[in-house]
Amino acid sequence: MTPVISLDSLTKHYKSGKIVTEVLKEITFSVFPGELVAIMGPSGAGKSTLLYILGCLARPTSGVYQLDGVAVGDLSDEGLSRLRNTKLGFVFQSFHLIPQYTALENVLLPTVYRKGGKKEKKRESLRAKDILDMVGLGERFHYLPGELSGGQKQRVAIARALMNDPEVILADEPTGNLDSKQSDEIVRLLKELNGRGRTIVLVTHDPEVGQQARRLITIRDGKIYSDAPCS
Amino acid sequence: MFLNNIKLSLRDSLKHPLFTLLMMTGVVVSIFSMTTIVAVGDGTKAEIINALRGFGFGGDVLMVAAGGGRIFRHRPSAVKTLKPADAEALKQFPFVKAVAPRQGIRRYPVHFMGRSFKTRILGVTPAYLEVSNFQVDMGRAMDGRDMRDHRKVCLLGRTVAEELFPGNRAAALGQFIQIGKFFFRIKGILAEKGQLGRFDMDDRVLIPLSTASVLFIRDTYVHAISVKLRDAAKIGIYQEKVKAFIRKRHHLTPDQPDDFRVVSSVDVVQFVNRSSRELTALLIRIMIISLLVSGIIITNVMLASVSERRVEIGIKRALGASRRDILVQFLFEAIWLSLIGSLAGVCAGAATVYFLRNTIPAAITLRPFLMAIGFGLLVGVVSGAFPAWRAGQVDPIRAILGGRS
Ligand SMILES: Nc1ncnc2c1ncn2[C@@H]1O[C@H](COP(=O)(O)OP(=O)(O)OP(=O)(O)O)[C@@H](O)[C@H]1O
Ligand SMILES: [Mg+2]
Repeated sequence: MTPVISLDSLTKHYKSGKIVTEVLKEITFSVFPGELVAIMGPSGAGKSTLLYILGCLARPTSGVYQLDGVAVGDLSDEGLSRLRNTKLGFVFQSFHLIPQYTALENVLLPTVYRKGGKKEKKRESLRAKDILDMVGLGERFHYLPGELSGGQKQRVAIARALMNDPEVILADEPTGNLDSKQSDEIVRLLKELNGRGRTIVLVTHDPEVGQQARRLITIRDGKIYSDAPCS
Repeated sequence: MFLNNIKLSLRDSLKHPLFTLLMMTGVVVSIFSMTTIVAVGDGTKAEIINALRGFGFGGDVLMVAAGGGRIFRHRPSAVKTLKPADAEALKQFPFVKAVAPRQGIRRYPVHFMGRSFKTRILGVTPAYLEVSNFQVDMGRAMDGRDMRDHRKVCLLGRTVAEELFPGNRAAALGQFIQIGKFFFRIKGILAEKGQLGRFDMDDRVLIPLSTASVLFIRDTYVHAISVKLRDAAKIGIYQEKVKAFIRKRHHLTPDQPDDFRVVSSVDVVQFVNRSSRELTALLIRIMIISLLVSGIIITNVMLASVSERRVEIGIKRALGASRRDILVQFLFEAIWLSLIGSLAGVCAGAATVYFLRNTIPAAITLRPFLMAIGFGLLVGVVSGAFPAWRAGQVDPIRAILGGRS
C-alpha cells in the first residue's frame, strides 16, 4: 500500500533577525490510507507547525513531503492551494466558521475554490445538506455560527472539511475548546468517519482523546519521541 | 473559479454593510456633484444651441464672414474680400444645400406717413429665408425677379411692422416706405421670431441684395455668406473644406492669413460657453480631488477591513483559496462598492436635476452615467489594489492561530 502522507527528514526553521529557531528537526514518518493518527506533545513542541506543513499552508525548510504521491515542495502557491482544496480538510481548535455565513454557506465554501461549472451548484448544495445531516445538524442549515453551541460549530467545521471529499482530514486540537461531553461527541464522530475509511491526523493535548486513536506519535522539542499503535 | 471569486466578493460586501457603506459614501458624494455639474453644463449648452437655431444658426449652418482674425467682432468689417461669386461657387459642393450671401447696412431710419423707426437693413437673396429659418407671415417672399431687376421691394420684420403700422400690420402690404432717399414697396411681413438675449430678431428689414449693392453699398462685396449643409454630422470636416476652397479662390499663399472666417454654431457655443467652461473646469478639478479623497478613504477603510478579516482570509486560504483568489476577491469588493456608489451618485444627481429642471438649465444626458461607470471602475481598481494585495499576503497560519506566532 502507498502512503497518503510521507515525510522524509523534514525540518522547519524560523528566522527572526539573526536568531534561528529550529522548530522541527529531521521528522520522518508515513501515514497510510485509513489511519487515525494522534499527535501529542508538550506545548511549543512543534505540533501545529507540523500539521500546517502537512496541510500545505507552510513549506518545510528542508526534507521531502509527498502528499498522495505528489512532491509538495515543487508546487506553486496555486498548486498548493489546489491540493488543500481537493485533498485536505481542516478542522481547527476555535472552529473558524465565517460568522456572517450560515451553516450551509460555511459548508459550501470549499466549493468556491474548486473548478466546476454552474451545473454542479444544485448537486453541491444537496451534498452539503447530506453531510450536515450526517453530522447531526439536519435542522440547522440556515443558522449562523453565533446561534450554535461549540460542539455544533465543530460539527459544521467537520462537515466543511468533508465537503470536497478529501484524502486526509487534519485537525488541530479539535476538542480544545469543548467541554468533555461535547468533546466525546466530536471524537466519536471522527472515529465514525475513520471507521468508514477516512484518513485522519489530529493534534491533541488531551490524553483521553489521544488514546482513542489507532496510532500515537509523540513529539518533543521538534523530534519524534515515540510512534506506536495504541492499545 | 475567477467568477466564483467575483460572486463571493459581492456577497461578502453585503455581509459587511458598515465597511461597505463607509467606503461608498465618498464616491456617492463625488459622483453626485459631478452629475449635477455636467447636467448644468450640458443644459446651458443646449439652451444656447436652441437659441442659435432660432437665430438661423443651427448645427447645419456655416457662416462665412468677411475679414480674418478672431471669430467674433462687434462691428461688421468694411473688408471687401467676399464676393457673391464666392457664394455661387460654394454651391458646387454636394454637401451644400443652399447659400445665402448678404450685405448688412447699419441701422437706418425708415419712414411711413410721418412715423419713423431706426432698424437694420439687410440686403439678401431669396435663399436667405430658408437658410436663416425665417417665415413669411403675410404677403409674399422675395423672388429671383426682384433680384434680377434690382426691384425696390422689402420684407418687414414683425417689430418694424408694428412700429410703422400699429394695430394693423396687414395694411402695410403694398404700401411704400422710405429708406434713406428711396421708396420701397412692402411685399411681405415676416413671422415673429422673438429675442435672442437683448437682440430683437424681428427688428429688421430685408431688401434684395442686388438693390442694396446698387443703392446703398455701391459695391458688390458681401459681408457674410450663410451656408446650409445637407448633413450636420460632419460639420467640422465641411468647415475645413469651405475654408480651403475660399483660400484658393482668394489666391492666398500659405504664409498669408485668412481674409475671411468660417464659423459654425459650435464655435459660437464655445465662445459663449467659455466662462462657463472655466467654471466647469474648476468644478471638475474639485470633483477629481473629491474622488481622490474617496479613493483614499476606500483604501484606508479597506486596509482596516482586511486586518479585521484576517481570520476569514486564513480560513479561505486553508480551504483552497490561493493568494490570487483572495486578491481578486478584495479587488472586486472595492470595484463593486465604488461602482455601485457611483451609480447611486449619478442616479441621485439625475433625480435632483430632474426635480430642479424648471429652476436651473440642466440636461440629463448619457454622459454623466458613462463617466460614473468609468470613474467607479477607476477608483475601485486604484484604491482597491493595495489593500487587495495586502489581503493576498496575509499569513494564513498566523491568522488561523489567532495572533500567536
Ligand atoms: N512564525 C513563527 N516564527 C517564529 N517562531 C515560531 C513561528 N511559529 C511558531 N513558532 C515557534 O515554533 C514553536 C512550535 O510552535 P507550535 O505552534 O508548532 O507548537 P505546538 O506544539 O502547536 O504548541 P501548542 O501545544 O501550544 O499549540 C514554538 O516555540 C513557537 O514559538
Ligand atoms: Mg498548537
